[in-house]
Amino acid sequence: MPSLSHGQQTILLVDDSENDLFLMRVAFKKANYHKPLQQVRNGEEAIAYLKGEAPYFDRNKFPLPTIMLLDLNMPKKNGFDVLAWVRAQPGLKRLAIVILTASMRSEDVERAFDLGATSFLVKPSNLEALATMMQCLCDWVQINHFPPLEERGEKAGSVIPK
Amino acid sequence: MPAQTSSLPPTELPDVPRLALAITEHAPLPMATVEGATHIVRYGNPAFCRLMRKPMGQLVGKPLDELLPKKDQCLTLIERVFRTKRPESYVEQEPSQPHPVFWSYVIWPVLADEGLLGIMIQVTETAEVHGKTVAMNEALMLGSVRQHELTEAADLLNAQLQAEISERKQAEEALRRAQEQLTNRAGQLEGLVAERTAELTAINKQLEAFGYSIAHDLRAPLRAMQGFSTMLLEEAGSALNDTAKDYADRINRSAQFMDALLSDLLALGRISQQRVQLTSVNLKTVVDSVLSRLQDDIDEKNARVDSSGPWPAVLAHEPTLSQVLFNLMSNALKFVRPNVPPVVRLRAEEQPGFIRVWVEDNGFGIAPEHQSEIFRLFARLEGEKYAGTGIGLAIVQKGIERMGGRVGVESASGQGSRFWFELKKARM
Repeated sequence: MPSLSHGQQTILLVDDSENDLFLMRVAFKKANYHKPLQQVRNGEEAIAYLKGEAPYFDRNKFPLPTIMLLDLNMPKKNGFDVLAWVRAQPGLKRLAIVILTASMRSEDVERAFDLGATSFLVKPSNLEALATMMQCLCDWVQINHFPPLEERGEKAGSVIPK
Repeated sequence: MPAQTSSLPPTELPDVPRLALAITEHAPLPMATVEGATHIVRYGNPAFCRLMRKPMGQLVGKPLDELLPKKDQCLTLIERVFRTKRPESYVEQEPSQPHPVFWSYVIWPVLADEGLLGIMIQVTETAEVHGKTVAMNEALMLGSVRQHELTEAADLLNAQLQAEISERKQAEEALRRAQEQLTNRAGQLEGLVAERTAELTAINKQLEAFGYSIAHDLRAPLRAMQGFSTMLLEEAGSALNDTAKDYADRINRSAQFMDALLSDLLALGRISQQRVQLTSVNLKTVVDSVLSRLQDDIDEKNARVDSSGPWPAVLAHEPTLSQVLFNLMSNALKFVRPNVPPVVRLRAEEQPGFIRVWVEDNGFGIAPEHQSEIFRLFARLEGEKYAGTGIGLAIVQKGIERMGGRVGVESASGQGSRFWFELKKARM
């Protein structure tokens, strides 16, 4: 598919809850999604991953994601911090970022969209609903056209700060 | 003049006494000399004789005071010149009609080596010029008198004005002080209000944070309990006996129930705390959206719902109204008699000034003695048979209350329930 320009369509999961990460993987499996899922445990790790800093310098092993599923309430740099940081990076600002959080506060929804979130999802309380949601998300990814992350004329290596 | 004096030879100078006499004789001004204590006239020039209208013979040897029409001042002055040997002059008025005459006197001593020879008097009759001077003097005097009066009047006015200004200043000062006190008081009150508001805001923030932590932190383990018990049943089901499966199932259902409880509590908190702004809301839109959210439930229970209307507009906060109607509607679908498909009728009733919305079901109803309790938080009449959290009707009551309306129920045990709420009619 020409729209999925960065390789094999990786999804990056950012969540501090080991259980939720595990259940998300189960939900993706139930949704018949078998492509690579990467995961990090907080905002700092997410930024390190996107920058390609150690231990994520190997882009073959840790490719830039097509979309990022981002929790909001996390230790060390929360989801809002990551969102704001990504939108300020010329080589990353086009990255599709789906907020996936337990929060239903309207202030959080507003703030997330103000900071440039692509979508805002609330974690369902049961696995079936989560699987349905991940199925919808995969379908949504399939029907979308995503631009290359770098703007024309720029090289990835030069625009992502080290 | 020195030039002329020097041009004449000294021998040709006239005899001084003769010259002096000639000057006096030909002077156009009346002049006379007096002598001695009684001021006997010794000499008068022709002008003097003309003024006195007498020949010289009748004048010489007579005391001056007999000759002069007004003499008091003149004689006093002659005395003074006699004594001081200094010239004097004065003017006096003869009040003759119609034009007063003014007499101008110049008096000086006639001194020689041997001492005082006599007193020379020169009299001039002045009319107009002097009169004018006097008139001017009088006018000036009057003016000065008048000025004095004016000054006095001005002083009086000034004093009154000063008094008024001072009174006004006192009043202003009193007013200023009162205003200052008022401002101080207002400032104190404002400070107090700000302090209380800050306290309340802080408490609200804490409550909000508490609610948020419930939503986020408490629900995370519930998701895990529910998720892993589901996986246990799905992936290890074959390895479990029925008792173990039942346990896993109970964990699963309890987790879901607790999640529902937390959701309802959060909804109640939101309804109690959020800013409720009333606008005109179309009831039809709200009814349709609630029914579409409950469509699965309606289909599953084979329920019949009548919501044909007509639906007027009410004054409400749409999210709150939506939540209220959702809770009432889902209760109507939930508390049903066994094996009786739910029949629910939604309708609006126009009353003067407000709209009453009815949610009528054919469920098992509520005994009159329980009807007052059901809106209380955690009130549950039916135990575990029905999956209620006991929060739904508390949300309904709180929501309607926040929108300035009323809520109630009409029911009898086994007869179905007729819940109603009233909201102000929206002006179209």
